[in-house]
Amino acid sequence: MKLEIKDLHAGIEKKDIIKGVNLTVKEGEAHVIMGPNGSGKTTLAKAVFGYPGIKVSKGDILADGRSILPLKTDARAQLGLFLGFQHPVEIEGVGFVNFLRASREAVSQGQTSMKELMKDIKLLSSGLKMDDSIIGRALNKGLSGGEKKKAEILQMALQKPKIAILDEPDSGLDIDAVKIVASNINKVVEETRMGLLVITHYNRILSYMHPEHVHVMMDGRIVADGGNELIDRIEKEGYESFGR
Amino acid sequence: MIDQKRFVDDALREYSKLPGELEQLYTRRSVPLSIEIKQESLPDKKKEGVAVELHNELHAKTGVSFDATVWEGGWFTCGSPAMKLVKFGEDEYGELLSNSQHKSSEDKYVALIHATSRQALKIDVKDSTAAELKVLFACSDDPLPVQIHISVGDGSKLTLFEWHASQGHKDTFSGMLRDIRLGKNASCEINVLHNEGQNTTVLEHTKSRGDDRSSVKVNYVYAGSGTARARNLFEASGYESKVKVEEIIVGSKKQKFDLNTYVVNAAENSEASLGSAALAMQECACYLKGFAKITNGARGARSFVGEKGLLVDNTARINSIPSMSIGENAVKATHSSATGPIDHDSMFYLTSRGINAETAKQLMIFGFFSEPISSIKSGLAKEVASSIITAKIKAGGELIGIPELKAENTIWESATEPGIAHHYKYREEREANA
Repeated sequence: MKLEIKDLHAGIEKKDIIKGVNLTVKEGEAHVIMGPNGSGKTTLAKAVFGYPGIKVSKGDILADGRSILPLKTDARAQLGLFLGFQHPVEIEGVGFVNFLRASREAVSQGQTSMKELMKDIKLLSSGLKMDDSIIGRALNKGLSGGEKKKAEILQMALQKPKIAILDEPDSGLDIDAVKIVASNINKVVEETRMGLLVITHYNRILSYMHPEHVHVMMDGRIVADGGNELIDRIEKEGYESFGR
Repeated sequence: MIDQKRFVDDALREYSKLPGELEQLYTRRSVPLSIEIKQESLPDKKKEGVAVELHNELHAKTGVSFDATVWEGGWFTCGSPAMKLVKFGEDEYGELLSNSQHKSSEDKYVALIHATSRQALKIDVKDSTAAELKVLFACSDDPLPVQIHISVGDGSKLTLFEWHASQGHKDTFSGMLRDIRLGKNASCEINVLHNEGQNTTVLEHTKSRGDDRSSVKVNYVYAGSGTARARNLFEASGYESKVKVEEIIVGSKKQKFDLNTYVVNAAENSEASLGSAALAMQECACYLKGFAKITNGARGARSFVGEKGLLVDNTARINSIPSMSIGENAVKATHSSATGPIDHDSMFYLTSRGINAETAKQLMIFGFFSEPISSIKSGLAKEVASSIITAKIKAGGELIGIPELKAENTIWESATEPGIAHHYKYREEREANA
């Protein structure tokens, strides 16, 4: 899959937060968008998934050359896109396993064996060093910030998307958890050759992931593209050096 | 011996003079009813055919075997020594009336049922035994007023499943006075499914008292009927006795639910709780009026009233009015109330995983009912309740006569590893028994 964001302008009501973003992510590529708070990173991720509160005023988002703007959120996911949430929503009463089954069936368009699903969940949760009790919980209910992030990675691994956008997968994680999450993301990338777009403030997780493409986002625009040298520059000089 | 004719005349007189509501707190928040006394004599034998037909259809579609089917003119297929039908005019009927916890003067519709009921279902579990009973209450064009007297003796246990259905085409009512008494260390779970047709008005009255260390759990599921009105009183009257009531309401198509349930802590270290979960759509109106009372002297009592509502569209309304009256200091008492529409961020989260909007909405609705459904201990009652809710939601709010009991209908409420294992064990046992 090739995901192309072309001259995208999007925002809430009449105010554009994204002001002309161009970005292309292909399967097998690892990208990272870095930027300060309020630069529009999360809005961009939500716009790709058709969040109802965000309106695209100009530009287009294409998957393999076809616009996905007319598609609803579920249809975008069914194409092979995945969004790892910055703040995963807690949903009362919806069993985690039941949700995963519905999700897997929706994406694969077929029936899921509960036995197989449980086997996969146990394997993945063990790899992520997650407590088994998550299986018996309601979706994200009562999980710590770190556990929620791990649960997002578990969902991504089960869904095997073509391109995943991970919105701050490292926020709320301690240093050991960052390593675990990063290694599990790497594992899914190796297994599936999916494309990856990581959104983050900090370089902490990137020292375990080594993305080839780094983009810096400021005030709704991508102001710099490059490689790891941009990460070093942000580390040394902060975002101000990009014209904040 | 009670003069039954005089009792009925008194009840009729009370019915004609009493206002719809006696309780001032809730007078302005009630559903007005227009019930007429139509049953002056027992229905003819032909009406039994309707009950038989309903019973057979239910059995064929669900595989459920009822121990008894109670209809307007009597009952049939009773196979349990713990249960008997007592007819109006018999001495025992008079005794039941005179000992009833329900008094004609307390409520207009209690008087109506006293005046019109001609039979009482008596369930008596004693000598530390256990009974599991399933009863179908079948109502046709005639009203079905019935008295249900339940006595669970010291150390005994009862699991009762009541399925209330109707097949009439005329406006009618299904009214019941349920009188529950529990002895020391007795326990019972009563599951009441109201799945009557749109023409039927349900009048539900339950009163319950329990002796020391007794435990009563009553689960109501309101899915059918045009209007349902409940006035219930559950009293944890013995030391360390427990009362737990769950009300599950799935409302659509202009259905009206007016549920006023009191849970009372009347003894030391007693526990009493009421949980109401109402889903409303398509101009449905719900009044949830839970009231918890802790009497003076009930030290160490624990009490909880929780009411929650989910509005699926903007044509429905839910009035949730939890109240408490606390007459003792050393107690724990809490109440909660929350009603709102389906959360947009939750919808976005679910659909971002490829789940379509309709399925996402259903998942959230099932999630909303997950807690009260999971608390039902009886496998059959849990399966039927889940299936009714699933079928009604999937049918876009249409009233479901008889749901198909399927594994996929019920798995949602127990989607945890132990829950799944328990669910399949129950299914296997049921299939083996069939």
